[in-house]
Amino acid sequence: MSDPGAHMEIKRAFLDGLSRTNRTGGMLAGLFIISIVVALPLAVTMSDTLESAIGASVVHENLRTGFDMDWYGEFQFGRGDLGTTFSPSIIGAGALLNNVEALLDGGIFGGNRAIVGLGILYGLLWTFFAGGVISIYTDTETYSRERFFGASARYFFRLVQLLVCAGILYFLIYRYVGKPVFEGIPKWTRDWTDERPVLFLNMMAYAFVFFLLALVNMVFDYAKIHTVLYDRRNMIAASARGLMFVLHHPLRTLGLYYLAGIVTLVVMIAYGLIGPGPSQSSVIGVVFAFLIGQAYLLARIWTKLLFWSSQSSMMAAYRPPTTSTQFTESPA
Amino acid sequence: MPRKVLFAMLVCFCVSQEGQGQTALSPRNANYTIEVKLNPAAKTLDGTEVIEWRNITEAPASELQFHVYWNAWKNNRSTWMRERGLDGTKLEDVRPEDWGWADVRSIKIGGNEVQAQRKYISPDDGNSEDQTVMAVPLPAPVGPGQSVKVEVQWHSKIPRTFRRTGYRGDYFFIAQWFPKLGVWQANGAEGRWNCHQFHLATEFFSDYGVYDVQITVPASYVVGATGVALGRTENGSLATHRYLQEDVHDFAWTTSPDYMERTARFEHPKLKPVDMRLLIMPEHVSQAERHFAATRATLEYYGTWYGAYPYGHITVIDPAYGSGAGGMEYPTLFTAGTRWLNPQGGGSPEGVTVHEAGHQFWYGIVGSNEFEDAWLDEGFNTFSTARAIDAAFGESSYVRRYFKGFIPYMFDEVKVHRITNGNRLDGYRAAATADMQATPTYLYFPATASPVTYNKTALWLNTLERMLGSDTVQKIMATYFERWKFKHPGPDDFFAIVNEVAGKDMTWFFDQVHRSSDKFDYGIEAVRSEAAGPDGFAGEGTNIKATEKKKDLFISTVIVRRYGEAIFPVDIEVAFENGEKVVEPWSGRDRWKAFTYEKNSKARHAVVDPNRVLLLDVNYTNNSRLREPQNTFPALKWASRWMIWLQDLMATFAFFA
Repeated sequence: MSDPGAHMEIKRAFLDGLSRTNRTGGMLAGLFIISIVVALPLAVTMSDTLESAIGASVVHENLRTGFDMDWYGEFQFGRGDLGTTFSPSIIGAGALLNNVEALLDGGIFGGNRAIVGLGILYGLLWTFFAGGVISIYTDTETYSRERFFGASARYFFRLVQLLVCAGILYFLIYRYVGKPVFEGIPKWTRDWTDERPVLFLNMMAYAFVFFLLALVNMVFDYAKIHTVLYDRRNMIAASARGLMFVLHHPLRTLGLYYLAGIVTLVVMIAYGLIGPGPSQSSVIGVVFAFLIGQAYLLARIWTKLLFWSSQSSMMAAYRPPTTSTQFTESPA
Repeated sequence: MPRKVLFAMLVCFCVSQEGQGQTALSPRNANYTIEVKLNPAAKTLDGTEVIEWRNITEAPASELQFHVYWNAWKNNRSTWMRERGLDGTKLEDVRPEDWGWADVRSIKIGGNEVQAQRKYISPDDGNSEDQTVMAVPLPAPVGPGQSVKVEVQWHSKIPRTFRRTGYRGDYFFIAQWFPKLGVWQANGAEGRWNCHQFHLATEFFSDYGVYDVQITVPASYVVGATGVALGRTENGSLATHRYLQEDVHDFAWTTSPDYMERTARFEHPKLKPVDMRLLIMPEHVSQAERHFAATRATLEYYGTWYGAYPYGHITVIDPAYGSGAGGMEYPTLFTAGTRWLNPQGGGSPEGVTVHEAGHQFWYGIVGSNEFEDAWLDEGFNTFSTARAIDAAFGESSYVRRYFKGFIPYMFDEVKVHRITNGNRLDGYRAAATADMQATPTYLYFPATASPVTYNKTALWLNTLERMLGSDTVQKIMATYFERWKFKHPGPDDFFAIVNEVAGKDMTWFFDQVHRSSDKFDYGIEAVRSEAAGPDGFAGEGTNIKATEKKKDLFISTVIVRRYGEAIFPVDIEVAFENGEKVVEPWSGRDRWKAFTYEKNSKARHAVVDPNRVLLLDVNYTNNSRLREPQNTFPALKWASRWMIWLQDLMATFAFFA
């Protein structure tokens, strides 16, 4: 990095964000519980589906001790319900790979309707809580449940507008960048006989799509922070402020984003390596495997909070000194 | 004389000693001497061939019929293309230069040009726009035992691969590339040509002979072909490679400047040694030994099970990425297919290598008719492949490929078994009633032809193995191989051997699995146990008394049902809580049967077909039933695991929200 000042600011914002995140365990726990509560109804539905499919068969014994591919072929045959999302690839690192692939391919929107609906609901819930979370990270006053929920309600409809704007941009990325690129690669490489450069091209395309998604995400993270920090009411202006902040501090914002991203990646890789396999056959074993998974998800939520807290710290560092937390205009 | 030519002649002499003078293994009634030149820039071939055909039947032939396969890709009106559209598949990104065709420019019989008399015929479907079968009248009939010499000249445009043969960049795989005679068959004095149009779901059928082929390509290109290389002569920027092979019914070749060559040798104390030549793409060189290991396994297991591979050499081709030439067999040469990233233990490329090497036996040496009875080679080979893979490599693990298929991830603890993976039960299940297997293959519905051909046969062969024992089925297949090698057997030939070796009439078996498109599905509908003793009263006159339930005595009832239409004798096993087990046979003919037991223990569970003999049963989960289901724990276990995936997905949504 050519600007040593940027390096110091990234480090300071990151460490400050880390410290704030670790001091808001209650908020983390609350968000984690919401994650469980939202997923639970569909998990119960899946359990019922599996129970019905297994029936009274002795096949249950195979599924108790591992994953039965013979049974799985029968289970999947002709299925059109939630069961289509069940596969051996949900085990361990497979779950993460499934979802990363779905994110980058745009398949995240083309799946089972119940899950897409749940995803949208969960996204809205996070949008609701984002206001509370960011207000905690941008304010020096101590956390309280009243402040948290008050801020969440206060900023919700504004942040929904930002969500819609970001959603439109995500759609445009998938539709007008990802889709033509991935459909074009086979045509551009139709005479290539070595797989490796084709693989490289595809991976570059994935990296580019991810870069664009991450860029939009980062801009709108700062837009959210700006909205809360300055109690902004005009969301177009807030979006513009988010973009301007990134453009004025590209190294700092990108550097901080990727640093937090690396932490997220480490968390995901760690789970990929230690994530339990299919062979737990006792109640304790199954519960333990479930708890490892939940620990991973807690860590994932923690990493998202780290993004917001460190980015809040970064943006707040450019706030003009004042005793009031309300501003009518922010510095560039 | 130039040293190069002298050397080539010496090589010709030395190497050809392996083949020439060898006792004929086959009738050798269709011999081809071919010269072909590749124009890699124009993607064309120019070829001449001299065919010496001998009539080995009792019926005189008054015309010749040739396959001209590449005309299937001349336009979208051919039978092959129309059948491709039957399942709704659309051609995508097909450019004018992608189409292929073969233009026969001269046919001489006995030195006389008869090109003007040739016509394209469509004996299968009457499609006048299909030009894959060419009929040429003979100036005089060729009687039994008589021969005719035919000289053909043609010019072809190589297709960009629609299926198996074609080009990609400067990579060429050339198969079904020359006008090839059909098979003249006779029933007494009445003969007909077995020369089908090129169909989507079928492969090929032709007579055995000697192939002497000279292939001219750019000098920098590496060539692989059926047979033994007799020599290579350079002429400026070009090189001509000569290959010879006896006792085969086809000839394929491939060329690319990118091939890397590796060699190895197969040796076994009871089998003939085989020189293995591998032409492999540079990015796959690290997988060379995996290809050799799989080929060795095939030569060993097929050789010891059925009969020795006779040719002494085999060429393994690793096709170029995206060429579409992978997974196909030709005499003494076959294409495998792998990916740059391919984890050991995931079944690839071992599976496809064993399968295509195995076709040397079923199709190559036993030359059944792939147009009409494709199951006789594909099904037999699928069964054999699964058996060989099991023996040589054990179970493989489930692999899922991510990110447009480039990045594999192997789930080590999730194993795929011979029944579902090797015999392809899942694919069969979806097409179980699509077609009666005894229908000629070229009349199958194209989209489901493969599972009826490959999967169903493998499953019923494995079922037969479980019924009659592996030794008996081993003997059946070895007898069939020995008796029909270098000949053209049909289904009845195989069935007769089954009856002969099994020592019983298995017609009923083949009526169900081969001459029917019914589905097999047996299940346990109910398992109940209740205290013995009737409810109500018993006795007569003054002795009428209320009955009492007997302590420690239970009446258990098991109801078995035939849900499918196909019939198969099965066993029913009933297990009791005290550990006792009872096994009862059932003809499986009725729609249901109840079995009742009076024992001092309740029934625990019942299973129909406990040893899973009937592998064609499409639903094995319903084959068993516990009196008291225990499905909650596994359902909760896997639902909890699924929930983690779901929460991770939600976290991804939330991250970008």
